[in-house]
Amino acid sequence: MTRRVPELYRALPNALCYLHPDDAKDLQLWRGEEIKVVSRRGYIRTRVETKGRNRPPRGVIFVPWFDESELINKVTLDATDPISLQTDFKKCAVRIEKV
Amino acid sequence: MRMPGKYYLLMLTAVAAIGLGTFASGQNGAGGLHSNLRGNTPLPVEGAAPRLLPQANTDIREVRNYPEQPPVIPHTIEAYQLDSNVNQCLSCHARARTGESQAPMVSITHFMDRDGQFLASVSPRRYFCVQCHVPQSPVKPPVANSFVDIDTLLSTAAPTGK
Repeated sequence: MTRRVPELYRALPNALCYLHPDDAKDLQLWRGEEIKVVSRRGYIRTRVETKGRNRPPRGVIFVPWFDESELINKVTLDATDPISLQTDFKKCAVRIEKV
Repeated sequence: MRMPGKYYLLMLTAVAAIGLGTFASGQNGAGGLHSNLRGNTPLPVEGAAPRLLPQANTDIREVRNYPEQPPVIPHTIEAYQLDSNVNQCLSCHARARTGESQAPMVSITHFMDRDGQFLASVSPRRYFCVQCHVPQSPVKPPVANSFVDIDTLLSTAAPTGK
């Protein structure tokens, strides 16, 4: 149902990169600025959010994966757990670049 | 069944036309598959990120789709402080403040703890408003939605009733 419910779609139309405000300051990024989230596997282009619902601690960023126009799966790992076959999509090391 | 050659040719033309039509509607000018959710960007390409959108700031309450729906926030909440020290939403929506602000009071259910006991102020488990209540950006949803509310559904199910 992702992005099919109008109220929820209007609440957050596109994926964003949630950053700690101090991290954003160190990287000289403004809220709403376009960035690349890069890992050794790939990158996406998204925008900085420092005041949203998610408040990650310093050194951690968060990008939701509902948005088909910003496929964060390109950045994350495609490994699966050998026993349960659960995907290990959820965390990986990244760096942030200005576009 | 034996068919004259003329009909064969006609059938082939029809199949080709249908095939071309499907192909054309599934593709766009850029050569990638078009989807309302993905846009025109082909899957291997990273398109530019859309801009942040402003929050609607009309202050006009929206009708709920069903009684249990958390009302959406019809005003901007950018830069609101909402943490364990301060809840800025309650500076207007708290019971004692609604007189001067004319904002709707926090629902009575928000004063209940999980055992159904009413507390003197907003229950800790209902303290963080944006867990359920969200502001809205004025955008058109990319996918059609066929939801009808219960009143409409009942009136169509029993046209003579009511």
